[in-house]
Amino acid sequence: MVQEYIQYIKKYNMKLFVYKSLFTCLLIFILFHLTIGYIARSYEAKIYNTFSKDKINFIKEKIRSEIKAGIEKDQILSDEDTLLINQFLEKISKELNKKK
Amino acid sequence: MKKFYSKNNYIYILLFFISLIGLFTYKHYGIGIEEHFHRKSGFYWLNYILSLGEFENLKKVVDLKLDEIKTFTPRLFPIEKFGYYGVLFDLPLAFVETFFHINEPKKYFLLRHISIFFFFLTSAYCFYKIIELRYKNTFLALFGFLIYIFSPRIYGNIFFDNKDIFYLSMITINMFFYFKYLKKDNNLNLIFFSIFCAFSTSSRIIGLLIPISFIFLIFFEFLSNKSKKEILKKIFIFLITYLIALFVHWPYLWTLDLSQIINFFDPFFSVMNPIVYFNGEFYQSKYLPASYLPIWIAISTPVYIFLFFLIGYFKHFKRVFNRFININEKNSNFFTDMWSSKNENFDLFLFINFLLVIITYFALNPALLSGWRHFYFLNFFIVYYACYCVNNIFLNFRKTKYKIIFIIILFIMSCSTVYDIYKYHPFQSVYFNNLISNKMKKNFEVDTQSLSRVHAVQELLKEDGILNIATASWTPLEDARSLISKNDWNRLNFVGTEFDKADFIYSNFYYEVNTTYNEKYKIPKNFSIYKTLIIDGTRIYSIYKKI
Repeated sequence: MVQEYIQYIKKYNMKLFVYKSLFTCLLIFILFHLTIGYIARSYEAKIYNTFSKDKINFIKEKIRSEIKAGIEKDQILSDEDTLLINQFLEKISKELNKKK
Repeated sequence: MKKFYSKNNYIYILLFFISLIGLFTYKHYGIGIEEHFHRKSGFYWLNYILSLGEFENLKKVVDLKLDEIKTFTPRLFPIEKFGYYGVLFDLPLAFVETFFHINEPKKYFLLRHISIFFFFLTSAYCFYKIIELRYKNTFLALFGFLIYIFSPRIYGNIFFDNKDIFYLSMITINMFFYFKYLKKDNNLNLIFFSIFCAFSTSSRIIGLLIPISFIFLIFFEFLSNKSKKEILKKIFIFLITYLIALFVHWPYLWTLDLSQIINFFDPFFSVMNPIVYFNGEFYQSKYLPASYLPIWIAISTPVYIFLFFLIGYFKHFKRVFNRFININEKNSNFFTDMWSSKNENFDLFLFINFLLVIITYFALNPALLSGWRHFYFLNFFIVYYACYCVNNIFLNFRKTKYKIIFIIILFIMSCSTVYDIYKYHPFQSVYFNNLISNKMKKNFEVDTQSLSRVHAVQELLKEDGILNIATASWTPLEDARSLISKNDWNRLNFVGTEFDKADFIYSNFYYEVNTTYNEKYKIPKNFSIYKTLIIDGTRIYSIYKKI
């Protein structure tokens, strides 16, 4: 098998072809990593680093502490907001009832 | 007497002085973060090997040692999970510790420190021989020898880092045996080279690139129509010896079943994913920017070595490229297409190795942490290419007055590096060069090997009474006891991160979490600075005291 391959290379003088193929593969690899690979890697890193465990836990904790602080207050919403949300909900409710 | 002062003996004089420096200073260094794990690994595999034979007495001692490790350092990772680490350093040291009944922690850790120092020194001698034989220039070889040892980050690690420095030493010795094989192409030298390839592979899986590079060169020989029979014989001897040596000296391989052999590389890539602070940003270890390694090397290698390396690499790249484009269909009778001498063959071998490392880094995107210490083996390539560049400059300035001027410049730069080593002592492992300002140094992790913890605990022991010490960084502070006298142990009470129980808090500012969002290591308001160690603008650690 090996002897046949050697004969084949000798017969068709494949040496330069093999060298060129090796070089082309290397170039393609480098080009890929400098362009698509680099961009993909930086976006992947950006996404994973943005949503790291610490950040998610921090946001969760922040929400929890805000809810706790809200519960402890006598009034969560201002009078103006209460009125506004009330009017908004009433309007939605009316529209929904119309379709019944 | 004249013979004694011959330039060939300078290396032995240097080796003698560096050994003396090492012997006088090795006790100044602290304990590395991975030393306890590697000591445990040594005993685990010693126990495994002893259980295969009838060594009951020794096995009892090893069992006791393992129990002691379990009690003393219960948080160490189980070896079963990370059993793939090579045993070339840990196993013999565990045996020596068992056989000679070395039971004092300070003694057995210092024994490890001095062993790794002398092993590194052996590799430095091999490096000297490589340069001397390659360039036939004793002065250049001495220069290479000195910068190989005195690159501050490397020098700072040679007294305790039994993983990264061990691997750097191993590949240097491996390259030396390749050079020896090139100079005298016989079966014995090929077998030696092959055995050291196996040693490199077990020390670090990236060591597999050395046999791969060798196979590439054999392939080039094959393409150049050398004697096929000879080539096949060579590759057969190499591969058989490599596989046998690998299997014989690496007990991890004895434990693998078929499915584990099929998925052989999987465990090497299952890594933790801690947060890494790099260039002022927090990243997950698996998702670091590609610039991580180049930036770390650029800011923590002496500027002149780094510049010589860049120029040397570029020059050699150009040479390889020129040789490549000049290949034609006709074959030379003496050498192959890609090299015309044994020295050129060696350069190409290193070039392929280095290229494969770069390709591996970019293609596999390995999870990194602790600066570039996992890539400290690149010091071999950095210094080799620096020597390549210096040799080229010598050749260009041959028989001109500029050669003397250049030697004086080299001498001055080397002196500044030696001064840096003196200035940073014993924390050379946190060295930064002049490319980075003191303000910028705060944007990088510093004492990633937790070397400062012994220093900090010794500072605290100057206080009276029981010391309740907490840790505000990713550091098992209690392991510092290993280099502290046992008489002081009862005064030390380590409370982990329970700051309310502490009188003092230690921090080396090395974290595994994003401290912007995670307040795990936040120093409570009732603590104020007690001591901060700053060297050359680099903050190494701080101790806070309860007000």
